[in-house]
Amino acid sequence: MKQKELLIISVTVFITIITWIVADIYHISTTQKIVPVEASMATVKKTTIDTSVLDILQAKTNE
Amino acid sequence: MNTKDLILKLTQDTKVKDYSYAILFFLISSFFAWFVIKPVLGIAFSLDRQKKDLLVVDAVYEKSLNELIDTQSKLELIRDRVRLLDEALPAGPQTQSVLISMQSAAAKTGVSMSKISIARINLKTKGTTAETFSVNAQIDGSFAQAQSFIRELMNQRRIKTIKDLRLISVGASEQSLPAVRVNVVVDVAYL
Repeated sequence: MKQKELLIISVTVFITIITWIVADIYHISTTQKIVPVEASMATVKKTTIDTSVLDILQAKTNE
Repeated sequence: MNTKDLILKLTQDTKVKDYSYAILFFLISSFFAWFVIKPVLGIAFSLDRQKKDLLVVDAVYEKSLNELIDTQSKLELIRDRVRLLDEALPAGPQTQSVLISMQSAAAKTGVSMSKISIARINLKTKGTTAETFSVNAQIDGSFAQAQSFIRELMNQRRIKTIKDLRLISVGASEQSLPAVRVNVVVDVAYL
């Protein structure tokens, strides 16, 4: 095997490995699973308490 | 020519030297790239991705916790008045208290309660939505007294709705006021 051919093979190997690394890093940064959020925590909504109802109830008698 | 001489001859050739250096450079670089650079970069990018994901999760948790804290502080403000809700909408029918409150309203307004009955109560409730049971009452008195009775009933804290109200004129009362007989059906709510 001539030295030129050996050089071509080593360059091809080098380029292949670099391409593989780039593809692998792209794969890691795009397809990794997101840590799931617990459903009970994700569904907590803003609450509003209408205190005017309590004012109305307070004005009434409890008999 | 033995091997030693051959190697010596080859290494002295500039072309062979250059090719050998280039080939070795690419092969060693490939080796390092595969066994050293790839794992390190993989871990670095993986950790970066995890950090981004965890920041999203953290934001969700933080928002939820803030909402919970906000709700807790609101509940803290009305804590001493929460009993009003229990009195207005108790857990269970508590028919006894309804009867007492209606009798109390009758006594306060001066009407005479001649009949009172409670319709069927469904005790199989889920406790999440308000249920109602009906109370039928018949009262006698003047129109003004009947009016006061209804007002008194509606002024009570326990949640009630008047489902049916019939006023029947029955002549004059003791104070020469027009007397009425009121048949009222009241829906009383409970959880």
